[in-house]
Amino acid sequence: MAAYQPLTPAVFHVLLALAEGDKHGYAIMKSVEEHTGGTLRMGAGTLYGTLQRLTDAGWVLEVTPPQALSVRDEKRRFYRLTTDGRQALGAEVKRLEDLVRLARRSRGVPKAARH
Amino acid sequence: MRHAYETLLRLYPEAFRRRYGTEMSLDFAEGWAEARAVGPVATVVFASRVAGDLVVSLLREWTRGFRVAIAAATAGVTLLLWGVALRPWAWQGDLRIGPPPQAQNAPPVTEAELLVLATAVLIPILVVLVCASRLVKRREVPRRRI
Repeated sequence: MAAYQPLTPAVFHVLLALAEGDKHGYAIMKSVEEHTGGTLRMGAGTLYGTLQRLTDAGWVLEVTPPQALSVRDEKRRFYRLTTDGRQALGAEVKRLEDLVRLARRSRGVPKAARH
Repeated sequence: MRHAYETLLRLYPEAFRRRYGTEMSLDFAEGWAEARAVGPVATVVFASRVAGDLVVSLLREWTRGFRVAIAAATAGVTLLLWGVALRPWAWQGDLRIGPPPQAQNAPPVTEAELLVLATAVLIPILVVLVCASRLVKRREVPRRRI
């Protein structure tokens, strides 16, 4: 697997939301809010700026909206995680796991945070 | 309210607005309706969050692709200010270290020159601080290391 630079929280959460399936922008925002228990609420400017960068990088692509849609969703674009995006997400999860493992082995970290 | 938001969307670069403007407007309408259904506090919180996001993302979108140019312009202005502050036209060919012979008769440094000198010192410090904070905050754009 190729080496990746650490991802920003915004990029990580967008990729994580899209890992569950194709979503439009508002659904991604809601998903991020849900995943983080409301601690991270992305604004539209931040979300679409991030989606633009991810699309340009080839990690996300725009797809045709699914057939069974509500009328209000018809004008929305849907986004899908590409194989490259999924690999980048996997690499980030692995990096975070390694960091947590390292921190749990450290004596300086409070015991409550180690389990 | 949606019309006001759509007016503000015009502040984004045209390409970005054309690509995402409709969706941003739809998202705003949906978020606004949800916040209003919850109550006035939620509406104020939503509005302030939208305003904050607007300022930050506008700055980000307008400076994208120009960050190197901004850094180069800053360096140029700094050099220019240093040039003015050192007053090379007052050296009169004497570049010895220490006070030149004509220093006793030289005009005193003016407040304007001190201001220029202070600015010339502050700009590189600010640029270094901003760059350092960006490094700490990690890269915005995900890039694969090759």
